[in-house]
Formats: sequence, C-alpha cells, structure tokens
Amino acid sequence: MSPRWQGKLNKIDDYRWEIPQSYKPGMNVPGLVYADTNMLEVIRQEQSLEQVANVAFLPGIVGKSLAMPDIHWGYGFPIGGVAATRVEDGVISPGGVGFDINCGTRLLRTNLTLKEIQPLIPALVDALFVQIPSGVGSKGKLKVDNKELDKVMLQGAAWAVERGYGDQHDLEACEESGAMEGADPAKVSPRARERGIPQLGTLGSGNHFLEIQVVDEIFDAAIAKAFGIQGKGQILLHIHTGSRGFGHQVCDDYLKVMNQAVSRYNIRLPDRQLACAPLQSPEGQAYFAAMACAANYAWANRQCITHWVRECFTKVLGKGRSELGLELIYDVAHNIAKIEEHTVDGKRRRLCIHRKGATRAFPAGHPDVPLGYRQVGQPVLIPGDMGRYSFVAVGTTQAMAETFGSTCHGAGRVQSRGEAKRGLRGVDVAKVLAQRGIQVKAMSWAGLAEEASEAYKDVAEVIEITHQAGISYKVCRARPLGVIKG
Amino acid sequence: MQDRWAQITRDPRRSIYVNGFDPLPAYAIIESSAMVMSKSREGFQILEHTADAGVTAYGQDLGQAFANAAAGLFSLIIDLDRVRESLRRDIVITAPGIESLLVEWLNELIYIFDVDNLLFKRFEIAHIDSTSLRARCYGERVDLSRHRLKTGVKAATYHLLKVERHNSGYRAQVIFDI
Repeated sequence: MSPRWQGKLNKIDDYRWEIPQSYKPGMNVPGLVYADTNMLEVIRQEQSLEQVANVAFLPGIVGKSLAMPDIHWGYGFPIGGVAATRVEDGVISPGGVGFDINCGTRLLRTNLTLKEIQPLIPALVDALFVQIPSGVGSKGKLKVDNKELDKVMLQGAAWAVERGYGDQHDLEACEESGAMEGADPAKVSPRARERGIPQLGTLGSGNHFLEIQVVDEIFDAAIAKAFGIQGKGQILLHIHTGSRGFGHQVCDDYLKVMNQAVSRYNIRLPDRQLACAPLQSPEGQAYFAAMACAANYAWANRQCITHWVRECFTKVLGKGRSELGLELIYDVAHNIAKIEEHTVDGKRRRLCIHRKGATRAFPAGHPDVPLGYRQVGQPVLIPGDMGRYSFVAVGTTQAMAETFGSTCHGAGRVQSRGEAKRGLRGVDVAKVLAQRGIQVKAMSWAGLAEEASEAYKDVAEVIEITHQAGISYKVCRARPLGVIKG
Repeated sequence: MQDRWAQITRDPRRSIYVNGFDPLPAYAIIESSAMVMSKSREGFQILEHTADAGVTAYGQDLGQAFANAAAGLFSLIIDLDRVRESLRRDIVITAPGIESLLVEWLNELIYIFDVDNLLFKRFEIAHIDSTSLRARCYGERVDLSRHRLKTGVKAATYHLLKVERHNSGYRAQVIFDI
C-alpha cells in the first residue's frame, strides 16, 4: 500500500484535529481537519493533509485551512477543503474552485410514496435516460447562440425559468437565487463559449447523476417538515451536475493567467496548481467575473434538467405537476468561490470563501437563507454513493463560527477509478444494485464501475462527524431507487 | 524572508515552487500515496490518483514523449484500438515553458475532442522546443455506433506536472481532472 501521511496533528477534541502552523514554514494559518480517529486513519492513507497545509500558504488566508471529513487528494487543493481569504489583500485561486465550477446538487420533493412509484421505476429511469442527455461529450437539445449564452451567464437559473423551464419558486430555492452577481461575459473566452453552447442542458459523466430516492430515515422531523419532507417513504429526486465544458475551459484559461500572475505578484506557493492572484488585481477580478458566469451556467443547466425531469414524471405517471409535487427543496454549489461576510477574531470581515468540494451551511436567521427556511437554517444536500444513501442536513451557527458556514459535500473517494474498475465490472455493479431494488442506467459500464459504493467512504460516517462537530445537523436520509449515470 | 525560502528549497523533503516554479523532485511521484502505476502500454503508463488519473509518457526525444502523453490521454477516453486514422488535424501551441507546453498541448486536444468530437490515436511532432510545438494528429470523429467512450477528461492540471530527462530520453508526467 501507499505510504501514510506522517505529518503532525494536534487533537483538539474527538472530531477536530489541527495541523500546526509550524508544520511547514510558509503556512500563514494552521490547518483544521474534521474527522474521528477512524476517518483520520483513512485520510492519512494519502497526501490530502499535505494539501491542506499547502493551502495555508495562500496570501491573505484567514482562520484556518479547513478539511471536511470527506476530504481526499485532489490536484493542488484537496477535495473537501475550505479556504477564506481577505477581500482587500488576499488572493483568489481557480484551483480552490476546481474545473467543474459550481458543480452542485439540487433536491426535489414529490407527493409520491414508495408504494405508488415502485412498479414504475424502470419506466421512469428509461424516460429520464432518454430525455436528459448524459455521458462523455454529450450534447444538449437546447439551441442557444452567443447572445443567448451571454444571458445564461448573467441570469443563471432565471434564464431557464424565463424560457418556461421552471417557476419563480425554483429561483427562491437556489443558493444565490440561481445567479451570482459580478458575472461579466466579456471575461469569458471564445473557447469556453464554444464548449458551453452545445453542452447546456446535459448531465455529463463521472460522478454526476440523477437519482430517484426514497426517504428511509428521519432524524429531525420538525426541520424535515420545514423542508417539505413529511416522513419515510416520500419520494425525492436528486440532481448532481455542474458547468460542463464551459466551466472546465474557464478554469483552464485562468490557470494560465494565474501562472503568470504568480510571478508578477511575487507569490510563493508549494504547488503550481494553487496558482492565484490578488482578488483586487485585474487578473483576480477577471477570474471572479468569469467564474460567476460559469456558476450561473451551472444553475441554468440544473434548472433545464429539472424541467425535463418534471416532464418525464408527468408523462410516465400520467399526473399533473400539482399532484406530483416535484418542487425544489434547494440547490447548492459545492465548487465555488463567494464573497461573504464573516466574523473573524471578533471583527466583521468581507472574505472570499473558496469551497472546493464543500457545501455552504448557513444557520437559521441568516439573510441568505430563503425565507421559507429562515427559521430552521439552510438545507444542506449531501449525496452519497449510488448503492447506499444520501443525506439532507441543515446549516448551523457553529458552522458560521468555525468553517465560514461550510460543511462536507459527499462521501469522498477512497479508491482510484482504476482500482474500482479492476475490482468490479460495471455489468456486475448494475446487477448487484438491481437485486437490491436499485435500477441503474449508464452510458458507460466502465464509468459505472468507477462509481461503485466500494470506491467511496460511507457517507453516513462523514455526516456523523459533521453532525457531532456541529457544523451541520442531519435531517433525513434517502436511499436510491433509480439511478442515471453519465 | 529570503533566507527562510532558501532553506526550504534546500530541504529535499519540502519541495517548494519559488517564483519560476521549479518542478517537484523525482521522489514526489513515488511518495504520492494512492498513485499506482498500471496498465503499461507502449510509451506511456496510466497513473492512478484517488479522484483522478494521470499519464507518465516516455520518449527517445521530447516530441516522442509529448506524442505518447497525448496517446495516454486518449487511452483514458477510449480503447485506442477502436480508433481509425481517417482524418488529420494540425496543431500549433506556444507556452511560457516546457511544462506549461505539455499542459496546453493536452488541453488543446481535450478542447478539440469536446468541440469537434475528434478522437486521435497517433501524433507526429514536427517541431518542439521549450516554448512551442507543431503537431500533426491522426484519428477520426466520434461514432457512437462503434466507439464506447470510457471517461470524460475535464482538463490536464499543473499538479505533479513534470517534464524531465530520463535515461537517454525524456519522461513527461501529468495529472488529469476526470
């Protein structure tokens, strides 16, 4: 097996471990890892904690370089990390957002129960698979030109709603109401446009999915009710995708810019993929504006897919929207940089929060939480692997105090894609899932094997740690009935 | 400040990029946990990384190493034996340095795959120096009736990026975001 990470960790309590600032000369702040002893052992099997220490080098970073329990080794930044930098003199880093800008998830609730839907799952999975383009290089059925793409970049989910793909309520139930401010299409390259135009309204490949789920455990009935989840047996629909080739190209374009900026601004970094520029520099401002365009594209993408999901359910079940429900509970980004206000050392500060594989988790009362949820807190959507379950959690004041209002984003890989493929065949994965009542359709069998449960941490263990640490509280659990993979 | 950095770069356990981005030392590959060599093909090896994958490519000269890295990239997307050589695309790339050139070369191919749906299997590097490359790529357009696409590749990254002399030739290493 590969060597363990041998670095020093100071135990703060059962769920918090600190990487001291002295671990590596050049760290501006300490690192903080949310894990229990078992999870820590898994995390130590690779070098992701070294990456947490590397992120602490970023100029202007405040608080701590944070690692969520689902952390795993990424390129440069770890996946499952949060870094906050000062708006006035800190940096912004495209690597701290990732190639899939505003990769995120959204969850819809239905009025359907397991009993009514079970016999129709295969038909629903077939319909979703046909109606929603997925897989490597998939092309969408939307016809947009460059002018229209500008609107997508500026308006996000609202662009789709304007075209009849959803309603006002959908927008209210999105982080940032489905469109970030500060987007400037002039900062997006022609190449990003070329990649973005045909891929709008596609699911993509890799770990992106559509899942029909059933609620099988409620941890907090009152908060679940506030989210429109009435009890066990209720059917939910989970969508996981991002900004597709559009976001990948924006990230790639600006990594080049940042590589130059690093020398210009004399920034010293332990990994080239951490390349960054001062947020206030022309490079930093341009990246932020282009990233916001990609984030808005992703919200539009998830909104279009939502519309087609609703069409499929209406057709297959022969029921109207009001009868079906299929209302949006919430939509969260888990690869994004946002300008937010937080309290650091007793002072209110404007910070650039990089969430790379981490979910915003704002508490009750926060003005950015939709009115309907403001009494209880922001819904946090944590997808697991396709063979087990996903969770809904809620943001907390503890998260606000410690993690810049952030928590985990999923299960986190423990096996490389190759390891997963060698151990399993996609056909077998689908068979085993079918025996357990989970219908799966995928464009690629190999891709399916890569996404098998065995390749992931048990998301229940991840969510237990964030729950015990108090950075998000679990609300309910849902298991998959039907899965579409790219 | 200057002294402290000098000390860091001297310490072999702590690889640091200073301004000009010195490459990681060779042991970084071996030490990187979760990264296992597998699936040895002619001229390149697939590197495994927990969430992603990479390629280590070899060549008698730089051009061959870059050509093999490109073949490695497309081997992640499709079984190369399934790709015919029915069309050609000429590519010119410039970059600030040899390692950036590798990333930009591969990202150019990813872009062409994404936009024009072209799969390449063979690459002739007509010219290469530390800041530019001219290549001729042979392959065909994706045909879903014959091509089973395996994995989408989002981009080549600068993480653990390396182009170096190896034995009497060259070795190029790159990690992809999958």
